[in-house]
Amino acid sequence: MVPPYFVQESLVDRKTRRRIQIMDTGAKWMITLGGIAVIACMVVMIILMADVAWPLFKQASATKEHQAAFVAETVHYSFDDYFERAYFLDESGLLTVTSIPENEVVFQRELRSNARIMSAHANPDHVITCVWDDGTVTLESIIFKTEYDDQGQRSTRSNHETVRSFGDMGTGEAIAMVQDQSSVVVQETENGLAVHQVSMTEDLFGDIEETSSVEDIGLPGLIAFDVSHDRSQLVTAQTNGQLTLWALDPDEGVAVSGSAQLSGAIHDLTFVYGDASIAVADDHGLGIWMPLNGELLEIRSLKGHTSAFQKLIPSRRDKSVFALSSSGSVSQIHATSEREVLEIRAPFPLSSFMVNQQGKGIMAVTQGNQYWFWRLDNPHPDVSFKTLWLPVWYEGYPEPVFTWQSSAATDDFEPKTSLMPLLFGSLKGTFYSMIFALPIALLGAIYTSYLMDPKWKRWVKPAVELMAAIPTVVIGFLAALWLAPRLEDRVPAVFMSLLLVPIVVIVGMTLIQKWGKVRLGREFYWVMPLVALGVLLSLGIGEWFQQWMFDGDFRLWYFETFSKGVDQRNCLVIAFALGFAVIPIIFTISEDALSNVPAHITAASLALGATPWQTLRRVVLPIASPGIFAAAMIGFGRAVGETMIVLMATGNTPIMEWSIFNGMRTLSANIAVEIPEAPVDGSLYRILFLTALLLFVITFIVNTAAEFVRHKLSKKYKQA
Amino acid sequence: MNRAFPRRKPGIWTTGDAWVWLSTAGAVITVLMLVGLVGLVSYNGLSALWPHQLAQFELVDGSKALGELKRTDEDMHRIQIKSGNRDLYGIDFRWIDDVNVSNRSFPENAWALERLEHGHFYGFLTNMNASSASIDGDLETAFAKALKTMALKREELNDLESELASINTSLESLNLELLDTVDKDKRTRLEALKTEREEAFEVLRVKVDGFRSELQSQYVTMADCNGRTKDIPLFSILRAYQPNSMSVFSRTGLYLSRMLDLLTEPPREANTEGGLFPAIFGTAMMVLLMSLFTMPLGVVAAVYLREYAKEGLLVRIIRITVNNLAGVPSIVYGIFGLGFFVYGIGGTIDDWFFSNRLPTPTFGTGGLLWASLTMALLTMPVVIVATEEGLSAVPKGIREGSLALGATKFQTLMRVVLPMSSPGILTGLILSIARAAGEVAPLMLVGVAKLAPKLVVDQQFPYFHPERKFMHLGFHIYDVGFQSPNVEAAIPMVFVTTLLLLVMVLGLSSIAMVLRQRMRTKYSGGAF
Repeated sequence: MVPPYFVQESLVDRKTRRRIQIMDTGAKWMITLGGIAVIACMVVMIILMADVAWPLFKQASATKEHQAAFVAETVHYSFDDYFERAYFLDESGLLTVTSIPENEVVFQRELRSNARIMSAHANPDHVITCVWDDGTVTLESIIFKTEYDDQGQRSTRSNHETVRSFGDMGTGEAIAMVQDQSSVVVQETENGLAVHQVSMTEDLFGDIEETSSVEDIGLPGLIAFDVSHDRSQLVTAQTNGQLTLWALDPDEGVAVSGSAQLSGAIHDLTFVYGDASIAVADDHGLGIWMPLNGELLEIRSLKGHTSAFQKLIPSRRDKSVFALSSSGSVSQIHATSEREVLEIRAPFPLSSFMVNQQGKGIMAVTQGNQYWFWRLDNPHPDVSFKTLWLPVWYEGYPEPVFTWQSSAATDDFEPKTSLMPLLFGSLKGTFYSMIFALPIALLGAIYTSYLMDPKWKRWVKPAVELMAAIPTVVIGFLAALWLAPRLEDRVPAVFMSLLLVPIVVIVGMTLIQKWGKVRLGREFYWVMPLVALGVLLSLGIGEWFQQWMFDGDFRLWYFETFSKGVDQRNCLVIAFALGFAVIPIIFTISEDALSNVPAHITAASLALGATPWQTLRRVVLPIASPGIFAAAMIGFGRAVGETMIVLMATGNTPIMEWSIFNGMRTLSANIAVEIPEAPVDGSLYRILFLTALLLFVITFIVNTAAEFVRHKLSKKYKQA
Repeated sequence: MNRAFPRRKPGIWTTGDAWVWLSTAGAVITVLMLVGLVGLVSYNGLSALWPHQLAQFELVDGSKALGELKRTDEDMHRIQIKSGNRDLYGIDFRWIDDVNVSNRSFPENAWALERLEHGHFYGFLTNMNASSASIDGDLETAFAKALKTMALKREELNDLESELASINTSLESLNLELLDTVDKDKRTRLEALKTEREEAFEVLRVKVDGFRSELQSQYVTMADCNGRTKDIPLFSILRAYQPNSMSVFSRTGLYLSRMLDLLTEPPREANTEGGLFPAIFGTAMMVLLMSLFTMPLGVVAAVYLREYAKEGLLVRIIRITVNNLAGVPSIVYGIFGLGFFVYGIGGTIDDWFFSNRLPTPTFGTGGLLWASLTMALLTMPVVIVATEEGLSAVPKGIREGSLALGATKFQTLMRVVLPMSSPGILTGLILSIARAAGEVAPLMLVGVAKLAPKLVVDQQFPYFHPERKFMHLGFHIYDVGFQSPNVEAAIPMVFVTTLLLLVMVLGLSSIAMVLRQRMRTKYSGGAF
């Protein structure tokens, strides 16, 4: 950029000059590119995290895979998880298995001769309850055997097996469930249901004892019924809107375990996966009902769907329910998140549909015996704004709650992923630590910047900066394993010291000043022993107070009085430990702000006769207050995101209580705790990215605000 | 003070004296907290390795207890001792009530043994069967001699075992190569090589097994304070001493040799005993690799911001962003590293180059490289801010002088500005290293391991394995202090680790601060 006309031709020839120029321009571009790339890289961070979290809220989608025609009217049909085999069962009992894209018959068998099927019901795992016109109920299992050959090519073999056959039954619709030798058959009769129960129990001597019972329940106007997968519950709906839950037991028989009266007409019902709740379709939409203390309660509902749902099929993998509406569309509704995840429409109304085992495919019939297949892409039906941020009435809970419990031992567990307890935990820890840190850091900064002997200030300031460099894992370890057990039985002393240390310092200094003048800037010679004295005194008096007020054990007293325990790793420890991490930051930044107040301003104030403190209070503090505010904000940002200290020194229990004697779980610690358990790209994994993004955004906003305030401040100085 | 208004002496709240004292208290508390923490860690860390005396308690019921004094509980009138002998008692620590003690002594002939497993043994020497060395007269001398020979033999065994391990790894890589090879000729050649290696492996394995069982057959019979005897293989005794009859000098010698072990030996017994070498090495490697990324990139970014970019809204936004990124929680960087480096880039590398090893991930799992990159990102703002400070400290006159002499901007930058601002760059580097050495949360997501079986640098080709997991001092503290089965026995070890980490981090930070201070005073006066 500087034309080299000063340079003599003899010293630098044209070639060299050109080289230098090219170097210069090249470097300019390289540096600009590199600089922008580094900074862009940081922007990529936000985008990537948002990109991982985003699919949580994406609407699911369905793609139509195939369409096939089948000749006969069927009583039942379904298909496998790979979209390779479909099967059809017609009225005469002929089972036909076809290959899906080719629509060729690969297997055919007549289940029974001389009998017709009256009705069929789909049990899980491709098992069908068939009711025959001769009063037989059979369980027919369609088996798809998947094999891999040497080249790793998959092939499927189809087969069929009759699992069980029950004679002397009626011809009404039936649901049969079998496990080992025990079985339940619930069949519709003219005026209600007949429940056949058989149980086999082996006694001590290895003899098998068979208990069987048949019971008729009168249910006028029965509309729908369903039996739970574990054969212990039956739910029925009647035309008068009566919803009844029955407990089934081979020995005790059938008993009502809960009932409710619905205002609208019920169309269909089904147990949701896990059998803990029931999905009921009525005129108003879809409601999720749950038994609680002998009652049936509607814990969640999906209202406002354009047309009423007619037929429900539960997913066998998660808490979704698939529903056919009267307008001929199929919807997937997740019971926990109350989200209508997707709605499938065909050019013609659908008359019936089936869901495959994984809940990733739908097969539906439209006019002219045309069967349509859709592949579903619904990775995260269980997450919605509501499950993350609003109270949700979970299965087995007496009321809607905020709770975080992401996994359990069983598959049919309902994940509880409310972020509220975590956000609450973060804010709680930050709140208590700021209460502890702010006064100490600010007072310390004020003293160090204005009052302390400069000779000492030269040492104190770097020492505090050094304090900021202490790894948080060290602070966390000492807080959890050294401080927490020592603090545990000295709780009264801790509170005592909040009061006693300032009192001892003020009283002590007043006395010392009476006795002789304390040099300005050297107060800490005296204050240091006084602080130590205050701490010792509060330890002693606290112990005595504990003996006197709380019978020698505060924790026991607290537990007996408030029936809540005092955790060993509680917020007192956190306040101290997190405060330790935050103090140097607030201290250093506010010290800088205070020191940067121009000297002529303070000099003027002092010259007018104000005491140093008055100058500080009336002149320096107001000018530096934006900087101090910024310091507090940055300290807040650091405390919110701190991970190791809270991970180590809290119990990591996600509870929502303000009590200082409890622990909590913070957003940041939650990531560290849960990420090893989170399968990649699963709901939990994405939720954790969402929390990271949330942390990022919180700290970014707080820091930007602080930076902005500081910027304004420094401009002001420049003008002054 | 104020002669004009002598009527009433103002109170301490009016003059502000009370506030001054309170603010003094604030500063004092801050400093005391720092001093307290450093003191606590230093005391516990330094005393953890000191060979303490063994106290023997004779109890009222006639039994005895032997162990190191741990602490006294004044309120409950009891003493905690570390009784060791986990294989005999099942626990390491024991409380003894003062009322039960009838006598307390420090027996001269009590031995303390450091063992490969089950922690320390405290007791008395009763007998020995050393294979060849006949026990002439003095049992104790014979024991010491036998231990010495055993130490030599143990080294011999270690050499053999590492040879075995190297054959094993070469077999592994052969297997991988076989998976890839389609060519028939090459396959037969490789297979021949494989059988040959397998035979060599088998021969060596038999030899090693024989040698080990020979070593393990020699044992010494120890008795605990109550006379319960225990045969302890000499092979498992790492160090034996009689703490009660040792002089201060021999104590110090033992202390120093333990400290040396700490720095050079791998850990034992779920990290609660032994050394810290892999953790120190892992931390150093991670920091080194991180510097390679963070230094050039951070400096380039700072040079761009300060020297090349036009001052304006964009640059201001960028600068605020960089400042803010320093305040973003470290765990956020960790989860970003997991999603972007480990699963994103690492997964892709695996798909392209290591597909024959899948589903076992090579780069698609946490490792040194990803940890370093994550840390580089995390410490980048530190380097940028410090470098910018360094650049801005170079007076304008110097730059203009250089330009006036005909140098181009780039030449000015390379020959004048960067050398002059090198203290600032160095400060940034050191601060980023200190930060990276102490930061644990992101590492837990991107590649730290509680026990890494292999170091990232070894004698196997290509000698440097950035995909391997590594150990880290900070994570070691978390892991041993919170995840080990016997936390109480592990605490001394955690304190030692903490002390080491603290010395490292605070030392580095102090150097950075001194450098920064020098830089500030150097240029603050004027142009030169």
